[in-house]
Amino acid sequence: MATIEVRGLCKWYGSINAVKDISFSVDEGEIVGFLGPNGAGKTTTMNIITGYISSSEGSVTIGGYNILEQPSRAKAQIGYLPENPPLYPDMTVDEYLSFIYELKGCLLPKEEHISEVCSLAGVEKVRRRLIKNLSKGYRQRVGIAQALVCSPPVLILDEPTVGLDPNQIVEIRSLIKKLGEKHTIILSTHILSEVQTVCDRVIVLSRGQLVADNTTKELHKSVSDGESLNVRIAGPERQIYDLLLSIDGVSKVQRRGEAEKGVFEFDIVTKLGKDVRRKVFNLMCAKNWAILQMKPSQLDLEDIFATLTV
Amino acid sequence: MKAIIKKELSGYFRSPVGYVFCGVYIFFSAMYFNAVLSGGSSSDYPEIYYGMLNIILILLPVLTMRLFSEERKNKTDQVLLTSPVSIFSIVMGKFLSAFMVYGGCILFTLLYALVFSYFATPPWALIAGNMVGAAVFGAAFISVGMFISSLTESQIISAICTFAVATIFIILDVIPMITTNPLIVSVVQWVSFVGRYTPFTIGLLDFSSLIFFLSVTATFIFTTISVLERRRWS
Repeated sequence: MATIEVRGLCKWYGSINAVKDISFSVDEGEIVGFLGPNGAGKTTTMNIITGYISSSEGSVTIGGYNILEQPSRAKAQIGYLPENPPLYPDMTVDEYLSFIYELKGCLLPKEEHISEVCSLAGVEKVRRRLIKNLSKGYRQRVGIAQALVCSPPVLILDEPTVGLDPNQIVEIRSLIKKLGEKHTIILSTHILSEVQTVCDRVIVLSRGQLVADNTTKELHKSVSDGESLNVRIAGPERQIYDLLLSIDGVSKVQRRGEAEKGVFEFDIVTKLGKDVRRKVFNLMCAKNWAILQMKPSQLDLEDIFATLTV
Repeated sequence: MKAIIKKELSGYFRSPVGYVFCGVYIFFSAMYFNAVLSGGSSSDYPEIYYGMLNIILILLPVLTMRLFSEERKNKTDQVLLTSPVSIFSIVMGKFLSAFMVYGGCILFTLLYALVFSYFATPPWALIAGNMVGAAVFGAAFISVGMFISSLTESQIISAICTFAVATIFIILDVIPMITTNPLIVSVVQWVSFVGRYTPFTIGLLDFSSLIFFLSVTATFIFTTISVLERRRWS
């Protein structure tokens, strides 16, 4: 049974349909990336999953408990980090985590558990400091720590790296990766490299609709209708281009411009299942145009994202 | 609920709000006590509580303005509403914490009775009646303030609106003096907080007033729950 089961989720704000019939499931131990441009419905969907707001239609089940029918049991399975960490600035980190511990009715040994959570989130050094005096990075970490209190099997993290500096982003990403060993995670972001680095699977939302749900590898396959080859050839650009285009099996050639002096770069898109590497090599040899580079190229996640969410 | 009460109580005294509330309450109640002592009559003793009514109406918005407005503004309501705690527990926890601060101030007035006992026998029945009256009166008004706080993100708007309601309660008691219309007079007397409080000042445990205040309290607690519930569904 899936840890998170979302079926036919719809959310209406007056006449605006923010989430349109979204269904997906997340299995135990998966790290799923929620991808989409601003206003795609990511945060709304997460808020519904965590029980912060209700759906207009559809159902959400967490660990077998329906979020509307058994809210306390379902919510007990979730640790949630909203986009803005819900922190009380006048509390110290210790006071805040103790409050969350009591709020969640946690039964684990208090001192050890809070120490463990602090160590995981990397906030041990600031435990006695007031939250209002912490940097943005530490606040984000305290937000993650509160989500980890009571060791919930499901973590829902809404843009956990937003506003952090590059070093902090790397640290938070490796933390999420580490957490993925013990928790099921849904991670919302619009940073595509984050998804590639951290997630096993990607769910792409656009204008409230689910437009893709697959591994990043499968997404590449589903979006591109053929294979792609990147070449650098020394010779006259126009003639190379015409020659490449004339090869049987090539559907498109894209000029990338002059890579080095007198060397031009091209992306050759071939029809599915056609391998044109030998033909390219033989033709260029015949013309005495040196091939300085030839490698299979993939659409990067940015291209896929743009294709799916246009 | 225990976690919320604990958090709210420490929140009051982590900021100046709790100290200001208790300080002002004790200051004015001590002034009234001083006046009672100067008068030299134990029958004047309820004046301490009766005189404090208007002060309470002005002071309680300070206590209630932050209850939900602050949570909404800082978006910390997300941590409460996504935790495995019911909305009823959240609302009751907040209500009880505000009531405890207020109740602590009422209990403090027992010190005056102890001081009074040095000079004369305190009118214990009157004191008990007044303390019960002040408690239910305050509970009702805290629930009104909490309800208003659940409607807005701004603590200032919450305080001003609660203060406006308090002003209406005070003005209501003036209406019977300027009109002879029996219907208006009876309606005003029925809903008047101060009017409902009066029987307690003479040591009467008036059940209709007691039930009135408890009903108002329950109504506004459940209205607050409805507001939070409705927001989730909107």
